[in-house]
Amino acid sequence: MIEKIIIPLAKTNFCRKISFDKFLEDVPNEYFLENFDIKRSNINGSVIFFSLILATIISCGVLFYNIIFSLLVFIIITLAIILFLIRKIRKMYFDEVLKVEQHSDLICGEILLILSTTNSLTMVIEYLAQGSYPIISSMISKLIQRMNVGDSPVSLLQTFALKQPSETIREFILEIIIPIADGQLTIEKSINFEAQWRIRKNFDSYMSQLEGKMSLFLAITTIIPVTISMLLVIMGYVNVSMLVFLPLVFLVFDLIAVEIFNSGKVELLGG
Amino acid sequence: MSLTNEEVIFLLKIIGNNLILGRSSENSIFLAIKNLQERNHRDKNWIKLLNLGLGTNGILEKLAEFTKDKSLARVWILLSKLMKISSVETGKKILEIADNLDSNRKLMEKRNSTLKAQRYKTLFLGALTSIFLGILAGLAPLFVTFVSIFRNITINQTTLTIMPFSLYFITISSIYFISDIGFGKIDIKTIIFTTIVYVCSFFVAKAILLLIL
Repeated sequence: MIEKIIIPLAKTNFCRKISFDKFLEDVPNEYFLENFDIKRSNINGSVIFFSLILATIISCGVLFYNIIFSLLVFIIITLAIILFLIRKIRKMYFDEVLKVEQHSDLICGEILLILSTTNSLTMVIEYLAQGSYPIISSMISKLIQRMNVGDSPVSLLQTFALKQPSETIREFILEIIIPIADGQLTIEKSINFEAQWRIRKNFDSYMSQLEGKMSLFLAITTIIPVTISMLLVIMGYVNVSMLVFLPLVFLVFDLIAVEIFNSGKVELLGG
Repeated sequence: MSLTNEEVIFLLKIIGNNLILGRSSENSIFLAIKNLQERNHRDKNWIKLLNLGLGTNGILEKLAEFTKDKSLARVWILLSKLMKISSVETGKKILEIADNLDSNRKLMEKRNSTLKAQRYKTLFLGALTSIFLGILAGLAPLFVTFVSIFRNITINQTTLTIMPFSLYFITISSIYFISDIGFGKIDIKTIIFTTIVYVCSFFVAKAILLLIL
């Protein structure tokens, strides 16, 4: 949906004119520029535009019923679609970050080994480019082109560290590799770099929340539907439209419960 | 034939140890595969990998192909690249990586066992939901009669006809997501079981209602 509707819409002249940039502030602008060739503000404009169009169509459908109700539907649907799309786009970015974080141990290990045996940053760049790491290898391949033009490997690695999505690799390159290249550190002192502490910390926090999340999930998927259905039937507040509407409402509830349960879920490499 | 994560870690540890001991990369891979074969008690014929006439890189590529977890398969590509630089250093690094993978595996197992422990709770609550909603659908005519007597609200026949289907859809959507979280996949057996439980409790409630009235 994002790639088929939102991105093409963001590339239109109308969305390019919108300069609203308050959504998706935690996703860097470079991510959109490199992957979709558009700015973050364009994506924001496209999200707002799409949600307004969809909400208008749906609210027009219920306009015959009541104008106030239609207005309410318009506001709720606009906000819901904006939230849904922002969440989807953020998820796309953070899934990529997670993929890189999963391999951070291998990447850092490879960098350290190549640097300790060859003492050459150029070799590090060459070897990483030959790997098949998600995102990182393709980004590093571009560095080789810059290196061939004459840019220094240290400055290229520094720029790469700031641009790539993994915080672990950024920290590793800026705090260990660059000082080694500058002669401020010797390689023996940095050999025990723990590359996975961040991803394990996230895993631990998800584990500690697991029981609570499960209880919340069960409450939303079982206890709430049973209680509400019971109350409505026993109190007599049921009619045909409510019986059609109710399963849909609980389906949305269930989807929210699954989202809550899966948020922050971390998959570790080798798990 | 596929390599589980546990087997990958096992192979990496043996290759790493042998490289540290100064053995050649070919010999290390040979010993690792031989050990894996002995450990598997001839369940899978890993030795045939050694008889294909492949070089070190070829065998590592094959191992990457056989690795079930494709993210983990990258470790073989890493190994083939690193072995060209320094065998002993590669051995040390590979052991470090294998240890990290091992602790990752233990952490994931811990999470899976926690989820497994919760599975019965979710299944129990799922079954309870279908029983409750089935009984509710079966007793709906009784509640409707009470409501019309005490609160003077009339509920038409169409509503009463649709009600069991509506409540069934609520049950099914709950069970669908419960089985997705509880089993990690959509379990058809659970959905069929829930349907049977719902239908049974609906008809039992209906039968009791008929007997009472």
